Amino acid sequence: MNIAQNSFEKCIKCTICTVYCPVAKANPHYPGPKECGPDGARLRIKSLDYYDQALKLCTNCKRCETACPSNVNVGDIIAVARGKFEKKVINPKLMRDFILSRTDLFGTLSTPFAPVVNKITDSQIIKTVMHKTIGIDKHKALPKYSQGTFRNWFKKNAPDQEQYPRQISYFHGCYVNYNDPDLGKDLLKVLNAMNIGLKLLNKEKCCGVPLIANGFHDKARKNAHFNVKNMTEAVEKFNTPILSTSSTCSFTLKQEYPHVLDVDNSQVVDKIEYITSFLLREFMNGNAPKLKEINKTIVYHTPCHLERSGLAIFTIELLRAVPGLKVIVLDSECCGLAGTYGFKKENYDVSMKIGKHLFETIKNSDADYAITDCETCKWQIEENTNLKTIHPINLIAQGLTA
Amino acid sequence: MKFDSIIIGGGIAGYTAGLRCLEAGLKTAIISNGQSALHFSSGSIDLLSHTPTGKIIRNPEAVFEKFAREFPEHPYSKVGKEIVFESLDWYKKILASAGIPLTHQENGDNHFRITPLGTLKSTWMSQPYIYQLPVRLEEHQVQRIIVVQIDNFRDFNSKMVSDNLSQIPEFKDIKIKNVSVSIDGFSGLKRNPCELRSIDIARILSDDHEISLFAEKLKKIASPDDILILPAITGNGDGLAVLNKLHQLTGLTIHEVPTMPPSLLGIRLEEAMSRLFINNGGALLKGDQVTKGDMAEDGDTLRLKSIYTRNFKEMPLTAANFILASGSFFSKGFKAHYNQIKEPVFDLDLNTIEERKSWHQEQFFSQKSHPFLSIGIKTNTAFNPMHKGVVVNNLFCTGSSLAGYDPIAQGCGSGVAISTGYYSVNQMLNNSGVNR
Repeated sequence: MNIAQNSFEKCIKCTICTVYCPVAKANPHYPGPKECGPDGARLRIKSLDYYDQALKLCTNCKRCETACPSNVNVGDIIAVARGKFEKKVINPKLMRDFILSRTDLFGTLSTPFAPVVNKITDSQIIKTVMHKTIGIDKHKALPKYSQGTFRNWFKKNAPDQEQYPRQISYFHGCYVNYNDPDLGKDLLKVLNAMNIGLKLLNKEKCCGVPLIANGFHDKARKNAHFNVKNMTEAVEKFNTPILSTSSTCSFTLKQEYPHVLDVDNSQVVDKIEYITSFLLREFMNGNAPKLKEINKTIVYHTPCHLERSGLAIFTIELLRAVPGLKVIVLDSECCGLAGTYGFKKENYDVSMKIGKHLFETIKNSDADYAITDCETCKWQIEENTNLKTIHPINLIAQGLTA
Repeated sequence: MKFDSIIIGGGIAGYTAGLRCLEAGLKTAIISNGQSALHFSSGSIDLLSHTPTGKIIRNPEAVFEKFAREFPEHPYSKVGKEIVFESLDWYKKILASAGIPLTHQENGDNHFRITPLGTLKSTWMSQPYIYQLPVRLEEHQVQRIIVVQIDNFRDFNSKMVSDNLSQIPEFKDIKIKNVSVSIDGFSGLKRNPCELRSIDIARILSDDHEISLFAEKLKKIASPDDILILPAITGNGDGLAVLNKLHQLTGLTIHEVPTMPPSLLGIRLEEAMSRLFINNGGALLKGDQVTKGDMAEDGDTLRLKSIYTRNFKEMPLTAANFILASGSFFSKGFKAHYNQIKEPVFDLDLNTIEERKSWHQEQFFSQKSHPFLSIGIKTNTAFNPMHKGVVVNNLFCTGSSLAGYDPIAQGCGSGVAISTGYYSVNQMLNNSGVNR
């Protein structure tokens, strides 16, 4: 069922969503979620001429949906409309959008040559060229690639996972595979310390969220079908939960597939889980690994998609369960990067304005780390505050005693 | 997941209860399904403006005992005078600590505030830029009122305000004027300015340059002895700071009136309470909805063991005590079907009115109360509800989920929310079931 199709009928036009829209807050030209979503949907039924190009200013953060008192899927309505009606104009920016959204293609191409690629994308000259040609903002550092993928490392270094009495399947996503295999390795350590083995899916592709955000819905849908097929196989064969360490991947696999892409995931949806809710449940059921005291202060930033999933509480409680750790929960607000959004020249200023309050709070915090569940929030926070930003799993792994 | 107390609903009653629980050292969660009805409110705290029989109340404290004797079913009568005023005092302190100083008349009288329709409404405690008119209206000190129309802004109509104000007999000697003011920041927008809502304007005015341009214009149309009526168009987390700046720049006596939604005055209260709740260690489950609960028999009573939500499908949330602050119809605390009204989560017993015809008055703007507004959950004196006639001993009902009063006609919505939220936590702490 595509619930976004009709939910605009439930909108009572109160405009509360717009109060909580980070883009509307920073960019007065953006009409806001109410107008772009439910208001626009009503008009677009009449004629496509009513499709407003301003919809591409939406970051798909879904904070409008969390705020809505009438349970309207405002963000889904906007995303669906963009997928259907956004016209692709052949220009250099289309190439940029293609590059930014094909995370697994460019990951596969880049990881073998990671040191070279990282050096090139870091060069000021290349940044200026990219700024002027395809419109990747010159202030941004593109994500660094790792040398070798997580998948390859796993095959060589973790042959013994079957020995554990219980197994989980891990949807590692593009980020762990191409940019930060250490996060996957940390997860392996933590799970093994809890006597749980880690399996990979037979195959996986990018969850599709950057494709959705850049309006490539057909390609996103293909990935979704591919991933649902592979997840279904894992569930049928091994009956394992499917865990993700990315708050956005798990949100996309669970919610965007049926709501935005109209891809049926009902046979696996209840098996997909973001890592901290799985871990906290294990901890509470007595299966916590032995943790040494971590006498540090951290600030915790809630990513938008985790907020919308309603799961931030699990990460916060998990962090509070770490002995010695002082946890400061920051105001829940968008960091401004929103995946690929903030990399674009035309969005850079708005992106920085959205994140300003967050950056200032973190800079004034005296914390040892920032912690967040989302890789792109991590990039944005590190780039703009100079505070090392890690995933909750990295922190738990630090505390393992063995 | 386990808590000491879970509060269902993130409005004024829910946050009051939540903040009180945290003060008592309880591990507390609030579950809220979207932002609350405060986003539609005046942002003033109504205590009691009329009796259920329609008599005007000047000083709620002075008549409290008599009121409680005459209307024993009213939530105030169950809470009692001492706790009602203790709770309001506490609320005032809490909000002041969160940066929102609320004030009331020194003698405890109600005051009138000017509404967006240009009528007067009695309330008890207001934010700094609400001009408090005396309930003995003839004693007012107003000389001139300037009503500001923001050019192109459709959610506030100054002409209606000035027309209605001039019909008030006590205002017959006051000069009332309405003046149009433009906001420079509208001109560069790639949007039609008449699409702008209060929040959009607030964002434009949060710029220092814009606010000083605006201040210059206001200075030209009013003097410090006037009451300057402005629609509430400042604030996106910093509303009072912007108003303070405007006041400093102009020296004018500003009176804010709420606009069509979203109401920035009400949002200010919710933002302050929400931030305080999180800073004090509360768990806020936003954008989630409680779907069902598990009850168990406990002697002659029932006990709510755990609840489930949309996001926590098969994972129960358990607590020693629960507080229901899920509001009324708009907030989905009740669901109206054609012939019956239901409390949708636990199916609690309501004081329903059998005859569908008598749910409402014929005239929408009737002076008399609409009976459906007094429909709510039946409770004992501790505000425990009943399920099929059996008391649920660790669930406490608060605010507009309660039966026996009409927040609109009696002008007591926020007062009931605060005092019952506060009182319920007291009851909860007395409840032998509290195990930390």
